[in-house]
Order: sequence, then C-alpha cells, then structure tokens
Amino acid sequence: MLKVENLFKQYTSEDGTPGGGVLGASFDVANGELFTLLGPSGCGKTTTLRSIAGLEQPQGGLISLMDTVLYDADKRVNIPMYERDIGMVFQSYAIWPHMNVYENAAYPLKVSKGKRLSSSEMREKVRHVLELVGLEDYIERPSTQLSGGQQQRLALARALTREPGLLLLDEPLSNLDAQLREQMRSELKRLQRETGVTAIYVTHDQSEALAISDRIAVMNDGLIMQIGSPKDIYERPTSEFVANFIGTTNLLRGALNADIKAGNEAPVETPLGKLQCTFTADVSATPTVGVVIRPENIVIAKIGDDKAAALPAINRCDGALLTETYLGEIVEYEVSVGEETVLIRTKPTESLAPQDAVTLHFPIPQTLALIEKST
Amino acid sequence: MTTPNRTVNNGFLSRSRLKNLFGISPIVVVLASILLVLIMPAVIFLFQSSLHETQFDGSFGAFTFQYYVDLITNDQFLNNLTNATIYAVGSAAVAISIGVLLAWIVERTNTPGGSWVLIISIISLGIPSVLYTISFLMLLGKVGPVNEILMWITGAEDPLLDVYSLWGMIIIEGIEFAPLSYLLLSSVFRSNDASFEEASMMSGAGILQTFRNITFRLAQPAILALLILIFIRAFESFETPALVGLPGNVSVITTDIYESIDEVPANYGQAGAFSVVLLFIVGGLLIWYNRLSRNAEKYQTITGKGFRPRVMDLGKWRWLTGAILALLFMIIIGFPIGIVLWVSMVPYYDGVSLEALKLFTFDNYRTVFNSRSFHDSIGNTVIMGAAAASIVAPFTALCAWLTVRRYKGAWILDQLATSPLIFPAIVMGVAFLQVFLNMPFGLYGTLLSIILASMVRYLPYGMRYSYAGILQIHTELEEASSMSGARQTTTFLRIVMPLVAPAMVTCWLFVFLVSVKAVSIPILLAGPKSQVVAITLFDMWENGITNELAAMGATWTGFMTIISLIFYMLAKRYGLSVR
Repeated sequence: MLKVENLFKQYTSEDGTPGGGVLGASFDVANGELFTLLGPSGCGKTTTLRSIAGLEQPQGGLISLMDTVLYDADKRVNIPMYERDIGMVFQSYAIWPHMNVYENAAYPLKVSKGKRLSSSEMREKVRHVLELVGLEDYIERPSTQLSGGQQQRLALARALTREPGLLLLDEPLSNLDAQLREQMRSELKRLQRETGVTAIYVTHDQSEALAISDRIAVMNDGLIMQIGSPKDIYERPTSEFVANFIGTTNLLRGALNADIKAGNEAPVETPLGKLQCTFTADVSATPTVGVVIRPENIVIAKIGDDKAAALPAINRCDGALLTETYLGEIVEYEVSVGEETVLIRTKPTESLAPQDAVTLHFPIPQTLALIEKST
Repeated sequence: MTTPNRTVNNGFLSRSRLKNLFGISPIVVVLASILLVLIMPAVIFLFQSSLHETQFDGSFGAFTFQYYVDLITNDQFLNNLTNATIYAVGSAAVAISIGVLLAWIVERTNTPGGSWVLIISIISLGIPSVLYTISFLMLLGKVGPVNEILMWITGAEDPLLDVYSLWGMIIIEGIEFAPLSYLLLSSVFRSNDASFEEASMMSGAGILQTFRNITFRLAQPAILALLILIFIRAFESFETPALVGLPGNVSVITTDIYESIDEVPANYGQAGAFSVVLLFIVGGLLIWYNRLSRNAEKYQTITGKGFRPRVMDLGKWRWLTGAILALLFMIIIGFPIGIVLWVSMVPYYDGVSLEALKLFTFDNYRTVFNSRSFHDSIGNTVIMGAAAASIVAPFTALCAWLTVRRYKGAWILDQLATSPLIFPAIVMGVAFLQVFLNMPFGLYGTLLSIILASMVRYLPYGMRYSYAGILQIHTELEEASSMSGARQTTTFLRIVMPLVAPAMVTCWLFVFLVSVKAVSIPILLAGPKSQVVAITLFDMWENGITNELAAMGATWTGFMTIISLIFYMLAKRYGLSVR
C-alpha cells in the first residue's frame, strides 16, 4: 500500500556539519494497518512522516502510495503535497481559528482537486465525519471555543473528510493531559478500525505505541532499528537500543565465543556466571555482547524456601536483597549479585525482606543476547 | 507575568512625613500633577482660542462661535475633509498592500534576501519625513527620472505624471508608511503557526489558495486595525500635504491649520477651530482602533505546543518573490536615497543623465559644512531631541513602574501619559502656540518651547517602551530586594533602574529619533534662533535651494541612520518590540 525505500534527508546545521534527519529508511505499510514510527526526539521519525506528506522534500529514495509514485529521487518525481491523497493530523492540531467547526472540517472538500460535491452532499459528508468523532453537536461552534480534546477530534475529522488513502498522525496526543490522552488513544484506534484507513502514527511515547499499533518501527539516529508487532518489539528486541528504549530492562555485558545465528541458544559468559541465552539476531563472537532480561521475567526465591529448591539448576545465581519498593500491583526488588545490581518485578506475593539471601533464575527464552545496534 | 502584582504595600515615600492622600502614594500625586500641568493648559487654550477672538497681542478677546460657523458654511472645508479622507484611505491601501507583500515574502516563504528588509526599517526611522517626501518629488517631478523614462517609452513630448496632486500624495505617503505596515504585519505573520498553512496544503489547497484562505484570513483582523492606524496617521500628517498638496492646490485639514497661522495676520481662531475638529475625528478613530486592535490578537492566542516557525517552500517561484522583494526595497529605500545623493553631487538638478556625471562635485557639501545656519540648526536639533528624550525616558520609566506594580491611583499616570496620542502633531503645535503666546514670560520662539511641546507629544511613545521594559522585570526580583531589607526607594534605584536601563536607552533613542524627524511642531513654534534641521530642509525646498538641501539631508540622514541602527541593535538585544 505505502512503500518507502531508502528514504534519505539530512539536515545541515548552521555551522555546516551534518545534523539529524533520515539516513535511509525502508518500510512497507499494508492496507488498513496502523503503523507507528517510534523513537527518541531527533531520531528522524517526524522527518519521515513529513517527507511522506510532502511537507519536506527528501534528498534520496522513493515513496509510493498504492500505484502512485509520490517521490522518486532517481526519476525526479515529486508530487506536491496538495495533490497527494493524504490526510494529516498535526501536533498542534492547526485548527483554523477564523473558521467554525463545520468550515474547518469542510475545507478539504472545498479546496482539493477532483470532483466537486453539491453543497448538500458536502454537508452530509461533513456531518457524517463529525458524528464519527463525536462533534455533531458542535457544528456551528467557533473553533476557538473548543477544548483541547475537541480540537483534537476536529483535527482528526478534518483529516478524514476527504477519505484519504493514507492518514498521518504527528504526535497527536502529546498536547493532551494524561487522562484525556488514554481516552483519545483508544478512540483513535477505534476510529481507525471503523474507517479502515491506513495510518502512520508518530510518537516518542513507547506505551502509546504499544497500545495503539499493529506494527511499530523503532527509529534511532535516522535509521530503523526494528520493525515488528508490539509483542515482537517488546519481547524479542533484536538490539540493545530497542530493548532499552521499550520498557525497563536489565543489561549485562558478556563474552561470546562462537558465531550464533538468530533463533538459536548459546551460553554467554557474564558477571553473573555463564548464562544460556536466546538469540533474536545473528551475533558473531565478541567480548562485549549485551545480555538483556526484563525485570518481570526473572524468578526470585528466598534461599531455603521450597520455591527455591524447585527452580532449575541452569541460569541460576545467588545474591542479597537490597531494597524492596512496593508499587501496588507489583513489587520491585533490587538484588546485588557480585558487582552487579539486578532489578526484579513480581506480584506482591513473595514474603521477602531486605538483607535476605535470595536466588535468581533467568528463563532461557526470555534471556536474550544482543548486539548493540542492528538495522 | 504569572503572578501579576499581589498587594503591593505602597511604600515608596508613603511612610515619609507626607501623609497619604486617600491612600494614594504621594509620588503618584506629584507625577500626576506634573502631567496635568503639562497637558491641561494646551487643551484649555486650544478650545479657548477656537471660541474667542484673538487680539493683536495674542490674548483672547470676546467670546464667539464665528470660527465654527465659518467652517460649516465654507464649501472648501467639506472639500478638504473629502480630500483628507481620500488621501488617508489611499495611503493606507498603498502602505498595506506593500506591507502584506513584504511581510508574507519575508516571514512565510523561503525567499532569499529577506534579512535585507531590516535595512528599510532602520533607514526609514532615521530619514526626516520632509527629506523623504522631497526625494519622491525629485523622482516623480517634471524633470525626474520616472517622467523621463515614461516619455522615452511613450514618445510623449511633455511629462506624463503630475506628482503635485492627490494621487501623488497618496503614493508618497503610502510608501512612507510601508515600513511601519511591514513591521507590524511581520510580527503577525511570524506568530502564526506554520501548521495552519501545512494543514491547508494537506487538505489539497495550493499555495495561492492557502495564502488567500488561511494566511491572509488569519491576519485580517490585524490588517483591518493597521488600516485604521495608517488612516489616522495619514489623516493627521502634515509633511506630504504641505510639500505635495499645497503646490498642486490640494488642501487637507492639517494644511488648513498651517495656512490659518501662516497668513498675515494669523487667524488663530480659525486654526483653533480646525484643530478641535481634527482632534475629535482622530480621537474617535483612535477609540475604534483600540477596539479593533484588541480584536486583532484573538487569532494569535491559540497555538499548540508543537509550534514550528517553518516557512513555505516556493520552489522556483522564490526567485520571482526575490525579485519583487528587491524591487520593493529599491522603491522604498534605494531610489529615494539614490536621488538625494545624486542631487547632492550636482551643481543644479536637471534630471538623471550621463552628462550630469561629468559635473559631479562636492561643492554642495562644502557650502553646507561651512554654513553657520547649518551648524546652528544641527546643534538646535540635537539639543531639542536629546532634551526631550532625556526627560521622557526616566519620567515614563517611573510612571510605567508605578503602573505595572499597581500602585494605588497609578493607572491615572498611564492614562495621562498616553493621552497626547489623540493630538495630531500639528494640533499639538497650535495648542502649545496658544499657551506660549499667553504666557507672561517670553517662551514663544525659543528652543525650550519646542522641547516642551515635543516632550508632551512623544510621552505616549516613551510610555510604551518603558512599559514593555518594566513588564519584563519579575516582581520577585524586587521582592527579594525588600526581603534583604531594602527600602522601596533603594529597591527602585538599585534593582529596578539597572534592570530597566536597556529599555530606557532604547526608549531614549526612539524618542530622540522621532522628535528630530518631524516638522509639524517646530514649524509652528520655531523662531529665527531656534531653527531645527527638519525646518531648514523645509525652507530650503520652498526657496528652491535643492542641491544644498540634498547635501544637508544626506549628511543628517547618515548620522540618524547610525543612531537608528544602534536603536535597532539594542531593541533586538533586549527583546523590546520595535514599533
């Protein structure tokens, strides 16, 4: 549906040194999919989005939407933004203050090329899309009297009135307060499902990305680090960056003696001893392989308990409990093992206290060995 | 200011032996009294003069409505009122068309060379209005290059354009106000979030459609307010009507006032009546303007967090907009300055031609530099500007501080200090003329009289800068001083003054620049010993001493441009809006 190949756009900072941008991103978005570009600020996600929109002219690569080539550096094709079949929701909403709700939403129908609608058809269409976002009671209201959440809905309605082939959302929830953000998040997802519109969503908020997306592309320094479903990205990161950026994780440095292919298991020498790890990507022998495991995947037990005795002998180490932090639905423990401190999260069912001697088990499928970066 | 002025203990002098007057700080009472003494006599004498016959010694005679009756019964008055209206509307239209174009190109597009436009603002603040108007008369006059070119193109025998007409006045005044219009509009265009335009483009609208539907519409309230502002300024302007209109027999209200006083014997009553009428018209328009300009900001308040000052990529078209930019730059600054320099270098002005190049000489500069009256008028002008600025800057700083910190009754200082705004400069001149004529001691014709009138006239401008400067000082800086044990007076001197100093310097420079630029006040008040540059230039033009005028004007403009440049650098450095 949407195809982006080797997209390249580098900014030059004022002193002439190369700055941020996109340094060769490729991905495909399937019909009806909600695809998220996720990454820290300056990673190139917004540049990618604006290049697809046509608000930014790339320096290299190819962008095509369905059968239309929007941008092709080699053939010097660059369709102007207003001829692209794309709707966009801006971070600041960009609701025009001099138009009321109806006029804002109807604007794309009035100005875009293509078949002219009769005024009753237009009215019907706009009413429909405003109903979709729940603004049907505000049609004649001046847009300056809308709340943040209503402006957000109107921005979405405006982007949808033209029934575009692609919907772009540039950090649409970042201006809302926390509670409203969660509500709008699920509403956005519902609307996208209902209309079946293909959407690209840009955010730096990992929990938002996990909650809303069909697939996520994690970006860093202008490159795509990994593309996958939220579950994939969270559970099977292929690089240290992705593992660190999404959620909380324990990171250990280890040595690997052999070249291992993705999908296999192999032992890695770590400060906690030898750990049997799963490989999500090909890794060559190196003295500095990263070993990551999420805090909730580590099993903790008090030495001498029945639970400790029942743990497998492999991937085990003993340590002393340093702190216990009670967070309600979970408890966080910090355990010192030799020089290292390991973070563990469990349900608050264990009866552990600081100073306790504990034993830890790292289940093999969740103990991942990763290289620092992968593309 | 997040916490605007909690209760301020009106300390400053209030704990001194002077007892509070209804809880109003004595300093406020003192300042308000000074302002009243400065402003009230002018108002009273203006109204009195329009309602009394004037005797030979300048004092008032019998009460009469005659001057107002004369106005109403005279056809000429209605005619001149119409002239003034057409002239003001036309000037505003010209100024705003140029301003919108300039502001849009510079602020909203990626046209090259936009930063050069700042030069327009700098020079236009330095050049005396008289000289600017004269430069256009040189360009558009019978022997001017514009007529030469038109004759060459059309093959006509005689000059095609007669600049001494209503349209000539409109063009010249419109161009003169273009920099102001650009300055105000550029801040409007700059503060609009680029995503308003991007959202329109993403809706399928092209560049022109987006400009018309979004950019222009968002700026519309501001443009309307600006239209009124320039209308007022043109309506009350004197230089262009006097230099362009009078020779072409086009009169407006301000020239009527001037002529009533210039005739022998001076008809003070008539001038007074004209002035009162003008005062009411301008006052009414200003009220309307204030309402509109409050309205003008309503679109500028909603911008989200993701504000990006992005500009529109025009692609190849940016070379066209670049060319338009260059042309406008030449029209507003390049050609006027060029012609003044040209005329200053030739022995006599007979159009621009290659032959004249051979005659190039510095004689005019030599004559001017050796002339006693040139030295005198420069000296007078500098003293006049510096004195007015030196009084206005600290005085308004104190008034603004008391107002911003909500001292009890201080709002009246703000009202009084900004009230002279409704006085057109020429009316201010007439009013002070009456005051000085009726003074027991001889102030009339002295430099001090010009200083006093200019000072009152430019109080509102000073107030605006001081106010903006004081607003930037957070209350807590002063509270910290009080908590350190400083008295209010100490706090003002040790904390407020140093912090507000940059604003005061910019305020000083601005008042200096605008007071030496104008001709309306000194033309009515100056005597033989208190000539100022603007008047000298005006007289030289009337007497046909064109080349020396150009040399003197060019030299003076050079100096003023340097001061204007310093003003701009300071204003930018300290984040004060430049208006």
